[in-house]
Amino acid sequence: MTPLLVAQIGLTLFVFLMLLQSAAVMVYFERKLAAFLQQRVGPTLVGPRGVLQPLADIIKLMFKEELRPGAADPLLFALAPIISATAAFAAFAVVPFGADTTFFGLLDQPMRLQVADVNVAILVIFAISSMSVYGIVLAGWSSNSKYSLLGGLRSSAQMISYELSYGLSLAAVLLIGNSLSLTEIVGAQSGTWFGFIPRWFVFLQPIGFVVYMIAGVAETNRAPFDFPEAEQELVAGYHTEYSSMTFAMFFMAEYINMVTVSAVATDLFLGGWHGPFLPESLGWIWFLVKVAALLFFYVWMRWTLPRYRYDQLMRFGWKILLPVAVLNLLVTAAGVLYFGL
Amino acid sequence: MISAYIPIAIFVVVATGFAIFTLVFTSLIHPEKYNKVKLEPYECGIEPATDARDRYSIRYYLIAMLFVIFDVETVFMFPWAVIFDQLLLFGLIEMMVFIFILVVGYYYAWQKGALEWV
Repeated sequence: MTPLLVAQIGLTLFVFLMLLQSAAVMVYFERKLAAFLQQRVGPTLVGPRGVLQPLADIIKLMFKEELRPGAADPLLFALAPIISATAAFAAFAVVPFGADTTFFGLLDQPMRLQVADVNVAILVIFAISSMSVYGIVLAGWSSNSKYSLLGGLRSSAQMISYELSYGLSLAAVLLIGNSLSLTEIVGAQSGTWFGFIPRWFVFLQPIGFVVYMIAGVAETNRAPFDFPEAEQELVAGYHTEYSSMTFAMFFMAEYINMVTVSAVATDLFLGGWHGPFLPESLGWIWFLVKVAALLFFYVWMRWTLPRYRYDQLMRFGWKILLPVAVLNLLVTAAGVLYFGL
Repeated sequence: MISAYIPIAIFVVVATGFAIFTLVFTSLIHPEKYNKVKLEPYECGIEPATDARDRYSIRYYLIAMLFVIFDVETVFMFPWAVIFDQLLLFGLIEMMVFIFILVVGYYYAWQKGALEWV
């Protein structure tokens, strides 16, 4: 056991636990923020200012009876939440969240703050996040409930429609970054232009960033694109028939997917761990600040915008977002050629 | 190079193990008092008359087919984008020709009404 290996194992477990508790933190954050936006107080009873509310929710869910419709497919019904949770966790494995560090001199050689340092990180994220659609489709189909089936179908159609724009907005970043490795793309964003504008790709790719965020919100099934679980028409969509911890798995997967989308947006467009005032070794603070800002944006949007209609969503995805993403890619390519970036 | 992917595999195993452990553990501690009504699918209080796995709109298949076509295109663009700094003008023109062919198909699908939901 070399120190590096120990550090790597420790880091893996740390990231896993952080992801796990990020879901709990997001539940609290979202409820408090929603309450603030609606001039309520939100959870206050459990713990100081209600901070222990997510813990109470989890304990309550664990002791709830677990129901499975009699006509459901037992194997697929049990498999769906596991697939959802696994895909949500695994996608974060290749996201770097800080500069190389020796942990204050504990290690001989610096290691990367990243679970798996692969050179095609973007492809891995793209591949694993596409897997999460399986969890939703299987949940919808296996439940043998009309609401679940419709929710699952809608969700799959929505996710694959927006995946195109998602992929194309990533390709435009690859043109500037010249690499599929997230670490190298973040590395290309260090320094400043004219001494005060940070060299973040969001300034070179403003349209790409907007397309990425819209597609990311649609991919994670969040408002204003939360059709799979549109309460007023589909009860709870694909997880109508799920209860107890199986429901919690879907819930957790949704929040972790949000964290992953925000973290990838931070690495690709917002300069990752680069920022002013702090030394490189404390860059992870900047990373957390940027991810938190994007998550705030997510929640803010959910409690501000009304839900679209399903045909509007499909029209927007196929007729507006996709052409914009393709044009953005071509313009970026021409720009790279002309300015020689 | 393949060793770089081992942490991902470990992560997947840990996540799956965690999910299975949680589900099995809670299934041991929660109550189980089933009856016929509890095991029916949710239907706003009405007894379900038919099986839920009924026929549904063909449009979902259409979207899936369009997705396959355009997603392959997207995957093709990733390596092109990474080595664009070597391809330069040749690469741009080539990609423009490629996208032009796709736009013809996209225009056809649009005119045929494949992108309309209602």
